[in-house]
Amino acid sequence: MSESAIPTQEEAARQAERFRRLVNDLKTEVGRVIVGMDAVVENTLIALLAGGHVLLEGVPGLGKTLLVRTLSDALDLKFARIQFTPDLMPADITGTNVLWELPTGEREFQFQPGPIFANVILADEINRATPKTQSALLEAMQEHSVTVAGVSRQLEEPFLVFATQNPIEMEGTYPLPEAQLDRFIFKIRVDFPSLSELHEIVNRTTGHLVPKAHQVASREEILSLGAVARQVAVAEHVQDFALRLVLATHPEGDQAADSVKRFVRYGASPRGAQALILAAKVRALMSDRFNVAVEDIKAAALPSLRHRLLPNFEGRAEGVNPDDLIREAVAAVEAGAVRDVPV
Amino acid sequence: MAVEAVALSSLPQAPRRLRRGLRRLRRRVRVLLAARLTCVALAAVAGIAVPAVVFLKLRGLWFPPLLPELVLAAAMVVGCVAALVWPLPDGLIAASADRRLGLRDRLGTALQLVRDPEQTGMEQAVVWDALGHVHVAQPGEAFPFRVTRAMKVAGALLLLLGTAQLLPIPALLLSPRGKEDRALLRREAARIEPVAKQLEEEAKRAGDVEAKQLAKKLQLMAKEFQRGQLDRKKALLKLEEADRQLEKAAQRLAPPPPKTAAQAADEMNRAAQRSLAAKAENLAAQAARSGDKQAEEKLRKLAEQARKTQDPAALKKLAQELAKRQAKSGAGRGLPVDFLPQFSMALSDQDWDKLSELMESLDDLPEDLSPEELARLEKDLRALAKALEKTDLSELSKCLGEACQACKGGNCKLSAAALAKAMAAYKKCAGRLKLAKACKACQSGYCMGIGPDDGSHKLIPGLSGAGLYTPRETKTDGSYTKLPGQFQPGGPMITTREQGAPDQSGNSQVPYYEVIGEYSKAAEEALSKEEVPAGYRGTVREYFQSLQAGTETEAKPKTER
Repeated sequence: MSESAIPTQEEAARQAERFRRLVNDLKTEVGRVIVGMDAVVENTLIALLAGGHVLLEGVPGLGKTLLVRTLSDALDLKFARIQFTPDLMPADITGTNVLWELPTGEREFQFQPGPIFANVILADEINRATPKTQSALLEAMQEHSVTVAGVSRQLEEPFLVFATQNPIEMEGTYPLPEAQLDRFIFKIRVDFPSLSELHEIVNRTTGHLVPKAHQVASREEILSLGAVARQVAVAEHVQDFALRLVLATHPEGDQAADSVKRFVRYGASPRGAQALILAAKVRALMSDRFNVAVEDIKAAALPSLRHRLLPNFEGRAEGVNPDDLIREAVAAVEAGAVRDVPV
Repeated sequence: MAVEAVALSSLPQAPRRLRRGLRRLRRRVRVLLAARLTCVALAAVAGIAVPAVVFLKLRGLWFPPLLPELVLAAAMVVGCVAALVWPLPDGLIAASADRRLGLRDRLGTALQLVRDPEQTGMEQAVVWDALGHVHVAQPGEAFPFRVTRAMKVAGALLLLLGTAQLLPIPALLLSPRGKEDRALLRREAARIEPVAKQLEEEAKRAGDVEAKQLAKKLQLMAKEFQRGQLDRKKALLKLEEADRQLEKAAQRLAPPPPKTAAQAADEMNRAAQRSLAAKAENLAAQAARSGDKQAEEKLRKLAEQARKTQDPAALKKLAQELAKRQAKSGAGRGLPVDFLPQFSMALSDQDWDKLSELMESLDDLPEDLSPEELARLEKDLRALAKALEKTDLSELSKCLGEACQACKGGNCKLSAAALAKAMAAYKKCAGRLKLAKACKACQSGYCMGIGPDDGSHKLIPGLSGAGLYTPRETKTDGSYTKLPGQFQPGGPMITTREQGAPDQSGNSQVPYYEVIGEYSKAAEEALSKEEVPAGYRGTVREYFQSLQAGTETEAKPKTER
């Protein structure tokens, strides 16, 4: 047992209770500003508590930026928004050394941190920046550090990147490379709100009072709760299910569905498995459990894996939806993994 | 969370408690598995048995009646044993319970974690959470009883098997031979039913439990025949068995066989022996008292001879000698000493006149008999009455019994009156019996003992079959031999006079054309007098016409010669 592990089950119960309370408070607080988008909000919270980055895909005006900003307000985290444009340079993200004149008259290079030195980064329309600029974000997302002029600077935890992508304007964009996509724990699709939600949105945002989120947790609390979530137990057969699911997304795998074999060039990487397990752990704790269930894995499958499947030419030509492929993969693995007595 | 439901102090016992909970669930699973596997086995066996039974029944091939049931029972045992040995590890039970109770892998995860001696707080919490849920989990809720498809199929097939075994094959599917057999069995059933009913009534009257059971068995058998539930072979076996049992029952229920004349005569002979010996001893004692040693010796010898001899004629002789000595000594009034032997001989010969004479001699008995003489008379009359019991002269026997009682009471007058009554009874019986001899119907063999019981012995109209027209006398060489008849209580005595012919088998002694004329005449006479039932007159007429035609053909060559 490691030192950071919760020592007793009473302490675990307390921590779990605190976790649930915080999540509920966060949901409530975010819900004051964001209308609807329950699944999006939940997945975002899961990703946040799992310590992962999120790629939000949706048409403009759905509240993606507002969501991220509201979250950072509720958690008292430093928020930075980076609007990605084709002419954005890496230094615009990471910061750069700037020649600075001292009062003594001497000049020296001083590092000016870029917007990436925040807790919550909103990378708006990330697919509009050049690959060079995108890769600057890549190191930060993976290493939680930035290297400028040979000097590596650690980013403050928690470090979360919420990138947005517009699925409509694909002209003149630079699709995110697979390596970068793989670093997002979730890809969340933001759908258009319903009529009732639209009514609510309009009512809230066009009145004289604009709701604002209040802080419900501190940075340290978020970090500690993330650590608690990591201690949730995973049974062998549940983990086996998750890993088989990842393998089922590979066309050469034994349990791959026919559609995967036909339309997928390359399946999810081990990061996909990590994302599944982490997300399932958080989900389990949110659901009043100390253990991960297969249902948690299944619930986390779509947001965890949809951006990790690389379609082949036929898949792209057919316009195959990765979500459908993942659902088939889940069904195939579930069929082979059902353990039940024959009565 | 269910953690609070479980006592926190018993952490080390968590693995045992978890396993105990899983054991509870496993027991339930085994029971349901046994039910399912048994149904599968039964369905498989029944699926084979149904077409097999139908095939064998259609072909009329024999198979052990309980074989399908035995195989089904074996299948059930196999199913239960398979359920007992079916591997049901804890992990599988836990996974199934998680799935069915919506526990989200709590039990499965806890089962893995309890193996680790060093558990983190979170892992402990998982275990306690699982314990809380397994503690309240109901096995019936997790594994409810459902009627599975296997059960439905097994039920349907068993029903089909039962139907195939119990119900008869529809007539449509029977072969022509099978249809014939079934029709035959139905006819047999119609024949058995009245027999069973009659047997039941007689068994009820006699209080014979076995016969009652047999009657029920026969009724059941008749039903089985009627419904075609048995094949020919089984039906024959059952009939055979029933016949044997029926025979035994008939013997038990039959009235005791009437005494034959020979039996009655034999009994009377023995009584006569005893009586003679007793009387001789008595006279010997008297002679001894009077000092006549010679007479005493002779009388004792006589007594000894009476005891040893069984020949009725010898007995008669002895009786006559004793009567002389009795007359000489002037002792022994009562029935003549040779009364019983004479009665026995007359009965044996069916000499009614002699019997009448003997009965009339009872009238001559003195009324002032001494007690000793009355006692002797009583003894003799009792022997006579006993010998005549259950014979055609049973009425006489009853009256003689009354006379015995009177003698025993020492009342001579009463005994005389009873003897007179006995005489009247005898006359009645004898008259009836004599009339039988004179009965035209009996003589011609018509009634053969089936006439009305009033001594008239007229032919009962409408009777068919028995003694239609059978020439009872043929003109052959040979002496007449009287065969003893049989006493039947309440019925006429049948006497048959058969002409003994030296050769009873083989060819007849007289050519038929020599007698056909006489017989045809007798037949025509019978037909004209309507002594033949209407339905048979044509047959009789045709028969004799055909014989007449044959006679002309045979007679012709003789004439030509």
